[in-house]
Amino acid sequence: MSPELRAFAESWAWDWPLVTALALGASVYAVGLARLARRAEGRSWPATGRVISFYLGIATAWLALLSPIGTYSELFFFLHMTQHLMLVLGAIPLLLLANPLATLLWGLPRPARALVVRVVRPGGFARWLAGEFTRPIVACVLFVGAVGVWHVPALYDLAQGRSAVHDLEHTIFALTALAFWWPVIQPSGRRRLGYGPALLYLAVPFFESNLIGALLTFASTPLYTWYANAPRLWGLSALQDQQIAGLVMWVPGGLYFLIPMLIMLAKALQQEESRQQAAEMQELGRR
Amino acid sequence: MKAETRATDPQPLHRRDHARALPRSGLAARIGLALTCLLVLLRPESAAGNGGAVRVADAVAGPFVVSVFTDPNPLVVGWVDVSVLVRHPDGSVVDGADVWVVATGSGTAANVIRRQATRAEATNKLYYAAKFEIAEPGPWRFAVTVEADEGQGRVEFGAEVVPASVLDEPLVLGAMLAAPLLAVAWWIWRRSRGPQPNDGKSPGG
Repeated sequence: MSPELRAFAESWAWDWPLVTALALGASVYAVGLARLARRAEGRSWPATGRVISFYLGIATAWLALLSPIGTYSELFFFLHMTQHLMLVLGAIPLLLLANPLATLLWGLPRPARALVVRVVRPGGFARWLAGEFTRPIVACVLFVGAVGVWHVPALYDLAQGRSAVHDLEHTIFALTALAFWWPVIQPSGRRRLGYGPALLYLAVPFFESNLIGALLTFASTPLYTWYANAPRLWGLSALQDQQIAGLVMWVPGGLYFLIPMLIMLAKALQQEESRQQAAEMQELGRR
Repeated sequence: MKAETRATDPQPLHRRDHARALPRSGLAARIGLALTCLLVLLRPESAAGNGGAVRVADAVAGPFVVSVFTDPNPLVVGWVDVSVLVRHPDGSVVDGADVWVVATGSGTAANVIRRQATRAEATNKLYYAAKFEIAEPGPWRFAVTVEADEGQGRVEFGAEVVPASVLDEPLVLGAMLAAPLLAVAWWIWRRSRGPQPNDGKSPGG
């Protein structure tokens, strides 16, 4: 293994606040699972798929933020782009699919659990706010807006390195992604978007990621001062690095939205077909 | 499927009798959680990552090509780190070099800090990193010397160290103030329009 590759493989960050937050989330969930297992002979356990989804979400966030991908994201734009996609399109949807709130609540000490239950009670401000932010139009505008605004070169450059602005950027990405995926994933399914509206909903970020990806790929000069000034490694120029970043956003980023869009389209057509068949049967029955 | 519905439905948790029915054997878990919370609060700054803002990019220093980064960005009073990437002119990384960082603030002898930068201190193992505490804000001079079998090189740069406060970042301060204000304004506006069909419902009902 070359020294450069070995250095990359060994460059794991040990950022205490992040490590602690992720470990805390995983531990609280594990305690919740243990308590649910003891209660009513384990009948209250969440489905295994949900447990796997939760820990995969934590692992994806860990990889994005603390692995060499995170460490080298300051040197390579394409790794920074990969990190953002892992968070927004990987970790957040996986955590939502796990629907972990009830299990996490059981993992908390009793006073903390009572406090959280009081804060998120029906009719309270927190629930009202969450309800507002997860309205499809609001969530879509916020998510697409956040992704667009943070790719403006002046802002992107400001949010580099270990700075408060960088933390703000990641927080906004995480919160808007949480709001965006909620109407699509909706673990309880009670207010999940129908197939047709979901298709349109997913089309907006799909076109945005294609547009930003294409702009980055076909730009003739490096757009971000941070990466233009960074020392060059692995034989990649700043422009090539930017082109790869553009392709990452364009191809995997675009496909990520396109595949569920195609599934939604197929389901919508299937639904329409069954509706028509039912109507025809009804018509035949009347005759 | 039935078991899953029961586990994911938060409604039973709203009832106090269920909270009371929890076993009392979670003492170890509680201690673990308390210790973890304590760790979050303490946030050992010396363990933070490095890399950061490029201060010197690919400068020729004797037989080496040297880049220097400082973290955090901007430099604030408290723990800072200086990371150094040392390469040969052909781009290959120099291993086993002696790298020293000297930071001088306002020219007084008391404000001179000298630290060896090592691979062990670096998160990115391509770098040599030195972590140290800067106590005073103001203009600082940094000198980095590199010594290896090939010879010796030196680069210098200046940087402004600002007082440590998240409130110094106008964008962050603006977001911190604007977010709750907007939420409250939105709530008042919605309330002024009378009850809405979604009021009181969480995401998901």
